[in-house]
Amino acid sequence: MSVKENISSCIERIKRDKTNSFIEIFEKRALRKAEGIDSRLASGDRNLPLAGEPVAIKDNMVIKGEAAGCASRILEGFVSPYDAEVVTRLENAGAVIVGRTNMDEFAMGSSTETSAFGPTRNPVDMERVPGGSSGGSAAAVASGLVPYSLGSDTGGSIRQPASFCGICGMKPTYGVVSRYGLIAFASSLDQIGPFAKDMDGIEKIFNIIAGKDEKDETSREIEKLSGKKGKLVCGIPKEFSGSSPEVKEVFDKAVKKLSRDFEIIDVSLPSTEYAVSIYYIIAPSEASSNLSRFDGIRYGFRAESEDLIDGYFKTRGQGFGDEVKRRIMLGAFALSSGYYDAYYMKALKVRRLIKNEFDSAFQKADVIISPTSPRTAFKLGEITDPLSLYLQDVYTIPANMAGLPAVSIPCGKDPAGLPVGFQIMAPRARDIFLIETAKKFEAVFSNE
Amino acid sequence: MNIDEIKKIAALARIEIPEERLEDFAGEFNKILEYFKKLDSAPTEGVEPFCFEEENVWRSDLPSSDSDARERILKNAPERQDDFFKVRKVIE
Repeated sequence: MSVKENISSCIERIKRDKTNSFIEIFEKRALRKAEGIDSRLASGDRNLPLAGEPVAIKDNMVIKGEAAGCASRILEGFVSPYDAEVVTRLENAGAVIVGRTNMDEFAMGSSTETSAFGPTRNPVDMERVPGGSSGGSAAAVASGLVPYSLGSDTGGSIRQPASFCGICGMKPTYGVVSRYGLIAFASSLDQIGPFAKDMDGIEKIFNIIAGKDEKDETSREIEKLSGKKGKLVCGIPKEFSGSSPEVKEVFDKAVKKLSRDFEIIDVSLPSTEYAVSIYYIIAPSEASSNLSRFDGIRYGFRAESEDLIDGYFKTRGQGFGDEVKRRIMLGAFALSSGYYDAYYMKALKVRRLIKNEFDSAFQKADVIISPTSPRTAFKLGEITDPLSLYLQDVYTIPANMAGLPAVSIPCGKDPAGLPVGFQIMAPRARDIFLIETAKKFEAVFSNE
Repeated sequence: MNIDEIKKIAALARIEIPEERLEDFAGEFNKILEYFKKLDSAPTEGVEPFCFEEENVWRSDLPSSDSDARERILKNAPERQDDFFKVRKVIE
């Protein structure tokens, strides 16, 4: 089968999708690119590790000449003038980007329900959310529409949907994958990463997208060194104890299986109790600054108005959804005169405590393990209170605060048949080691 | 946080919130700020703030060789005039 035929049947599958995973299929572009790959293959080009593989990207990464919108009304009509670095790398490797996937508006959410394009459904159970914010990318892989997709993870937005949909998702070390062309939410936390059904797939995409990029000013190299001699030590943070009984049971069983081949110890990360609080100070503060660019002047939606200032208010009032407004306002508050020290600076100090505690924990343990989410996928509309939704990110946020690489892999199902995700965190820059370890755990979990 | 304070923050953020929604926003804000009180007990005395450990990388500030970038960028403008973004009235 030619690449073009393969991409064409992938697009047909996406058109029949019932989960609302995609906002747009790049049909013309994808078929044109597929033809290009076919002729490169025909001329003997062997330098295409992802030759003809369909990949979906979250709607916050840009492609030259195509729309990108963060699932927000405020970017209505925007066509990107340039390619994101991850797009360039994937396409250079022969991948074909088939479309952009649904997400919580501006990646602010944990359920993909805040999208201006309607919610995405979880293919495991259509009454339930796929998690978020990269819910479209996770659901697209889980339902077999595409083998790989990219998401972004600011506080768990790759790992939690991977967990809810029963697939693998990875948040690399901060800086290891270029953020050039990722529409910014919280720049000190945002990281692009892959989704796939298994860790081989994660590794395949990670190897292509990772690496230094001078266009991202916080870009860094990964450490190529891998494994370790002797028995691998897994630390379980004793503070990560708020799981539902169903998640706890599946996780404990998974740990028991691991304990045959690996050493399991307790570690302590006392300051992670503050992680959700500082996340909802730091991320909105950065967002309030990053999202000030949406002013109705240079791109996107512009509301009718009397004058310039009135135009800002109306454009942003009508263009942003409630959750985005709430977070911009939280950030504006935390950074405002009189509150800056009590909120923003305090949060950055606690962030250092969390980082230091991880550094000490990694003196004793090679990796730190936990459930990915305290619960399995919830129903659409089940959690409406913003604070209750924020608390869903309690196990994933700490890795973003410390810049660590982390993955979620499936480790079993609860009695209702809903997938439970297993989180593995590793020291900064040790992404290769993390992937190797996750493959070993995956083999243990899938062995029964 | 009361309605007036919410209005003040919405103004700082340049976001119009309809009158009838102000109370909802204030209520949610208060719940969130209440949760943040947890932070009071965090032992941060003498701790330096931390953001990320990577050092900013610099590059030369040179004009791009991408000659039609200007047009691709301006094409996105809701309103333009020649090679300029057009804005609404700034002063009377």
